[in-house]
Amino acid sequence: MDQDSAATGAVAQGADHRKELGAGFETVGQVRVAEPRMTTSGVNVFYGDKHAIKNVDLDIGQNEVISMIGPSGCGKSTYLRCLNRMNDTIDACRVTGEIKLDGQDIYDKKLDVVPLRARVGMVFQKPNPFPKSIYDNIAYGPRIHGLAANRAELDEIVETSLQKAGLWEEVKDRMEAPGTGLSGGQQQRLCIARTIAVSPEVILMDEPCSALDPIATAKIEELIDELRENFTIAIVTHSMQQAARVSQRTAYFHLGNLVEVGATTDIFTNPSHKLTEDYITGRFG
Amino acid sequence: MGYPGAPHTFSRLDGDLGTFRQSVLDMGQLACEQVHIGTEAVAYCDAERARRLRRNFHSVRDLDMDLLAANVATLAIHHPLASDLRFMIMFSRTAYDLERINREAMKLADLAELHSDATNARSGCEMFDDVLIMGEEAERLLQKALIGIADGQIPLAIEVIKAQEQIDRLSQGALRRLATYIMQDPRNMQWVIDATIALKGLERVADHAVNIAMNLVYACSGKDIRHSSMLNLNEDFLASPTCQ
Repeated sequence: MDQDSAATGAVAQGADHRKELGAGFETVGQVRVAEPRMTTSGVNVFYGDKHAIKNVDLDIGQNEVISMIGPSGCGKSTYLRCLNRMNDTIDACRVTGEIKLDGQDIYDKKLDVVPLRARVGMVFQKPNPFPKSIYDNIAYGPRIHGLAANRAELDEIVETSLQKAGLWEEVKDRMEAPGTGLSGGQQQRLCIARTIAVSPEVILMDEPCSALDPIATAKIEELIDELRENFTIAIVTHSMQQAARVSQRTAYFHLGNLVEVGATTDIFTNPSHKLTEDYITGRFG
Repeated sequence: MGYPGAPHTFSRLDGDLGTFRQSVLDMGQLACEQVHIGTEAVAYCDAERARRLRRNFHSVRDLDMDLLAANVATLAIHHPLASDLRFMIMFSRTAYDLERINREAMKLADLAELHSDATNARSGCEMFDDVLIMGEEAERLLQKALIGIADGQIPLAIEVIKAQEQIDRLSQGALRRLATYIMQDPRNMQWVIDATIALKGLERVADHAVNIAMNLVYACSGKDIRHSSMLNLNEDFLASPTCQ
């Protein structure tokens, strides 16, 4: 499929959705934003010989929630993990291209990844509280990053983080209880509180609600909406309804390509590319 | 023809959308019949046709109610998006327009019964000749709009939308002719008033046909052209990968 037909979304009906898009493919929609928090340019990711992410350009705007959708194996989680160098932990993984946080190249050899992962925090699909008390789950990050001068400041950080995560009222009377004793939804909010305790600039969420019941999911989504005021959030989700509810922009990935990105309302009511249309209407994936 | 586009992975969605679509088309066919019968009822001052209109009224109304329930259920269960959502909205709005057309047909039934008295029918019915012409044109537009919906054809929708000017010309010509009847004999006033009412009702039927055509354009292209100039209506502007 040539570049022009990709740009106009003129994929023939009945086209094989397993077919790759070709080297010259250009993303449909606005990949760049004014005053981005993070910028990615020409990002490619390889797992050995497998080309998992293909030449992706995408900005993530300040104080926006951007959702990434696409069928399983399309590369959205791989791309997300590039944003805080979590792919460094995978031996066979190689990342090329440029990723910047506030104008600074995060793959600069001189950059320490530990503070990076405080600035760009991550919440995972399965809640993973530390085997510690609720208090220590939150306090751990600020302690090792030296964010609190004394116990009083640490207490304040813990309380503020739990309040922002909507968990304070539920746990304030049992802060020494183990974090693993909370319900699934509470554990996930604990993990979010843990992330925001180190004052990140960006929060990455990889299917944060897929292991949760509907009510817990609704609380997390409400929380995401509140967190947007202070943080930039990138969320990978399999639920298109969730993407539609929580995000301002949506990016659709397909076989490693970023096919289309745009305002969430536009993507879910009138997508430009046929692949996007076919995916979100459930014609494949 | 099945529901537009490739099949969904969840086949029940195809079934539900297809059923919804067919119900709207069935309602459309009934509405066309109502316009046809209503036009002839007035033009020939025929009480029997008026009674047929009243019998058919409930069929259209019942379909409308069933469609509302089906619409809500489909939205709640399937959460359609993109073109699926736009088509659901199109079908829902079309059902509303068809229900309105059904009500216009009832007004024609009222007029037909009013003038079906054998003692005065022959003397005044010729003043309803333009009603027949207008009714045929309105029915033709409605049929074309419904075929457009059935087949997903934007060109047909554009033809219907552009035909508004023709309807306006027919209406103006008819009103000028009706005015001459009053000038000939002021006792024709009641007939002229009722003919005007019938003509206006059929104009509204044509307007609803245009609405249906605009709904189709929205469903196919995602563009809301209800307040656009006719100059912008061309097939390139409205090109859609979803429809023809």
